[in-house]
Amino acid sequence: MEAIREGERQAPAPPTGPRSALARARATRPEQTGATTAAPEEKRPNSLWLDAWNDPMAGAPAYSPCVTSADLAGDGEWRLVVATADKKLKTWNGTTLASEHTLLEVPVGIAAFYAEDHNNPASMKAPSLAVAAGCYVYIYRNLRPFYKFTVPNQTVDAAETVTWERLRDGAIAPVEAFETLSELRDQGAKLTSRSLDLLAIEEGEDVQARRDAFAYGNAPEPLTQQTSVTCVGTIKKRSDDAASPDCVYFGTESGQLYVLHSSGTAVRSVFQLPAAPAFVASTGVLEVDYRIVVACRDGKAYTIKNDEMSGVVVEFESQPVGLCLGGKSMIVGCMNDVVHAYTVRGRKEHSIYMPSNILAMEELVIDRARTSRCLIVALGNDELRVYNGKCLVSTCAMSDRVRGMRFGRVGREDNALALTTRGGSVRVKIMPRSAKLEGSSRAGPPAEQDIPLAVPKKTKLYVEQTQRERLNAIDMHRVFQRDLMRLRYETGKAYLKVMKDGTGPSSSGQDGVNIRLNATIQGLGPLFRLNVELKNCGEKPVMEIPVLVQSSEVYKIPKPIHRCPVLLPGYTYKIEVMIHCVDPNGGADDVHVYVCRAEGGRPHVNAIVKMPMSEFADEPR
Amino acid sequence: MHHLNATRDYDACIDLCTKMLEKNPYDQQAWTRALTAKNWIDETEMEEEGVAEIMMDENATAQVARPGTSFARPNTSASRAGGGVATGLSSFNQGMRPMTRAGAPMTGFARPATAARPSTGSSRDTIETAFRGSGRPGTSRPVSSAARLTRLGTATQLSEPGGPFIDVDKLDLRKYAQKDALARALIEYIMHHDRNPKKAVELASLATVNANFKDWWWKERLGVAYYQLGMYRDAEKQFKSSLKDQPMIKTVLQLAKVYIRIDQPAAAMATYVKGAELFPGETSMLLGQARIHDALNDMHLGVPLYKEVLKWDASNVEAIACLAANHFYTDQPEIALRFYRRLLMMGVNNTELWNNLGLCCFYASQYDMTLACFERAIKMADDEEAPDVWFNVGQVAIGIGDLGLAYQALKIAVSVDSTHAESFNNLGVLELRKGNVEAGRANFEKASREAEHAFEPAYNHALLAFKTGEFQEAYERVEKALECYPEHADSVELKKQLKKHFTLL
Repeated sequence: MEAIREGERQAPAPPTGPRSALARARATRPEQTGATTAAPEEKRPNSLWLDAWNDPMAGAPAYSPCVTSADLAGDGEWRLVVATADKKLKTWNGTTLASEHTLLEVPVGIAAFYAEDHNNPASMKAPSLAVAAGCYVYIYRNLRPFYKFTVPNQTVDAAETVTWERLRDGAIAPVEAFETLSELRDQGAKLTSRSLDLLAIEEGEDVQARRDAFAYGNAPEPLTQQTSVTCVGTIKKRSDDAASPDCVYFGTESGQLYVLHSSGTAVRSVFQLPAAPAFVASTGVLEVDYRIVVACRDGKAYTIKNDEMSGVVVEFESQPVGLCLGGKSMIVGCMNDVVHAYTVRGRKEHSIYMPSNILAMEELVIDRARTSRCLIVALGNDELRVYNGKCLVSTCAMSDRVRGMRFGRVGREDNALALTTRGGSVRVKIMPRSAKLEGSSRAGPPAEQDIPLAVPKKTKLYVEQTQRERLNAIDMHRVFQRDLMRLRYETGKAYLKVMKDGTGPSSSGQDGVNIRLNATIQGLGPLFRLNVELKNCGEKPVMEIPVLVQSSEVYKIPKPIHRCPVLLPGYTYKIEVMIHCVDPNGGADDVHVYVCRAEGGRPHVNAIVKMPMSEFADEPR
Repeated sequence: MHHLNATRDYDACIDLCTKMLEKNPYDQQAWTRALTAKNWIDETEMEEEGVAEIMMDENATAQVARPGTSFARPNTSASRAGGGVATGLSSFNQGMRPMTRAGAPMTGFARPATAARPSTGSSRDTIETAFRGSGRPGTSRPVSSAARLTRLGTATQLSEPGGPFIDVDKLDLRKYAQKDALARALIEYIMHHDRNPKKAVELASLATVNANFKDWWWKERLGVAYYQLGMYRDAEKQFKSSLKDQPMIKTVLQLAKVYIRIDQPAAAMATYVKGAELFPGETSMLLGQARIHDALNDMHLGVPLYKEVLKWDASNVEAIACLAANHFYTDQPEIALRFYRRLLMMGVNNTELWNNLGLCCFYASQYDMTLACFERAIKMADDEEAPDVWFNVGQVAIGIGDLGLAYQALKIAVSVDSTHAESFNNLGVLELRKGNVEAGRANFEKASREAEHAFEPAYNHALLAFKTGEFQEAYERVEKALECYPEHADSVELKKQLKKHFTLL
């Protein structure tokens, strides 16, 4: 009989050493370009902003370009103006909705500007509003529609015009016109949207009929190509004075930047950019010295300086989501949650890594005894952050996702921030006079450096052992070297045995064959299933491999030999072997699996499977 | 006969009794405890859970327990959830301290069924994982712990010539329950020799009724029998009632065991604490508490308890081994070395000890003794221990920069145990260094399949995929690594890099 003490205390389990040592050594940190500054994580008290007004029911869904404030009545009471995504132009006087106009198209941006009108000098007192929508810039004066500026038509390819004219005159059939146009397209000509629409009709049963209908229906109209406005801005014409005339400029889908005369009715100059502008900003005075920076959809920012395209092109890692031009620097927020600051000459100053995606950016300028410029960033984690240079000045939690924001004068308050949120609410926050905008710039090492690591103290024992090591260094080294040689010998011997026997999960691969074997047991007994997985880790396919499963008399194996016709490299082959336990006591023994060679000789690889204890059979076999 | 029983020469005693019974089959005096004593199992220790218990656990209450309230989630220690770790090193850190095969934190002492249940990883509830044995390669789980007991019972009967000694099914238990002394011997026989808890419940409940529900001993027996049948709540009731009659060390331990089995560490802890108050100086109470701390990943809370145990019992192997392991993993190998030396002096002489001595010597810079210890460990190791020893030899070889030796040692380790995940991981890294990218990848894959709780192979695989430009693969792997070890700084960094790549133009 056998005494089994289940609670038998076993010896200490082997500590398996610091396994991560290798993993740690393999760590890489790909470099980050440019200067990097981690945003300090600590929260500051929300002291920078005071909540002035919040209207959750304002119904003003709008992005930053569609929010502005202006002294529309000329009475020093600045109105908040929002052109909403549901085609409304709303103005607020204080906290009351002063006016609401319906727009004909979805606005892309608004700008307030002082128009120069020599026929009507009185109009200079209050600014006009420019609302860019579709291919027009609507100009409102005293909140009444005043003028509609149409973006000039694009030049149309001559061959295309001729094709449509001939189609109109009946000289060619729509089929021929279609072919000519498609040839033109393949040659790389810029076609009008009408031609592209025609070319796009290419599926369905009645293709030809639809093409004909489209071609004849459109041919009588003269062929023009319009473009639409993507962004809009203003720049002072002659002097920096607040009420001096402005010029409106805007970018178009076809990659142009138009600067209008201060009357807002005629084009002053046009610049062609390599891509469609997404964001535009300017500094300076148009007739003295100015700079317009355009962030385009190709992930680059181009600069126009004093009526000339400058060679300064800044390329970003990711698409821009916001652009500010303040003082001597240009700040760009990118889609990869980073805010980069560049000098106007295109040299990078610093980067700020945000914890979440950037929703809106706005420049904060305060003219007090000295001008301070900061950056306001609204983040996807509902934070509103203010940065002075690269120092975080304040963090303020918002209850809703910010969509658009504009810093400036609202009502009679000089430093106000108007925000629109995802839910369509409008809020105004004001900055108290006492607000401190100086970020505590901690130059030098981060604060964590001063916190000591919790390293356990070296014990006295350790010191003693070091002493021993120092005294007997030579002897220790010799003994170690001798032991090491012996261990290498022992290991080599054991390794050789492993190679010779072909044991182990994969064959040693001296003859170019490297087969990995993995055997697992399923079942409770007396019937077991042995799953043998074979994987050829070598380079060449191996043909005709016999797989042999062998055991003592405890088990009965109905089909001990399996033949694997071919093992292709990299694929796993599965063989299932049924094993019966015929021992009446349900004993357990080892089962050997051999992966043999077709030509005989020692096996490629073999494995010993330790079988579990078997359950008893229901009826004796 | 009594003399033979007292000197534990059970086989001789059994022979003698058999002879007496042959002469007089109704001599009830000869019913002896010799058979029982020979097949004794320490009931206060945890037993391994069976497949049935894992797959069909009806006692499981919460799938996602709160941090620190379940053995199944050792990675969520209460002290860590409680807001920041003040003593960074004393708490468990996967980077510093390896896990056991089942994904539980490594302690210094191999105990039966501590955290044997596969705890983490996606495949926690699959049948394959349930069948895989907890500890060693090749072992598999019994179908259920009750079935295991039955098997032990049948094995003992089979090995007896002339059939079972007492055929319990034919006995009139009602009659025997009246005779208290005899019934006591009989129930011990049923439980330890026949291993028939159903009959034991029957006899014990009859006897309890007979004793007017006043006898603590019968209640305790009844509890144990209920426990063996898997009726944990009934067992708990019996143990509590028994403790009310008469507090006993054994009963307290049994009650705590019930709580551990139904995964209520806090209740088990409270039981042990109360027990420690009742029986000061009883090391099993202190050890019980320390084990729960270990299983819940609060290693630093266990240390003072082990020290307390050593105050009462200076040669407690478990306490010494756990303290040694704790010192080893908190970067004080020289102290661990002292503890292990103490074990050696106490007469413990096995592979694990020599292996640990070797490692301690190596990390404490006592190089002249390191390799001798390993050599001895290799000589003594059998197939169960050899892979771990060879793995550690490989570890030391990597430490001294002899990568050839390391490669050979690790190859030997995986040849003995083809599921040794740690060795596969390190082999993968070595293969990568040699420039065998495919072999490295295959090794990492194998390692992650064998050890789903380990973050190293997943991270290494992710890094390899990242370098070879397979970002999607890298992302999936690094997610897996972070699932196992959310604070792993390099994985976090790699994930950040990957995210950056994905958001790039």
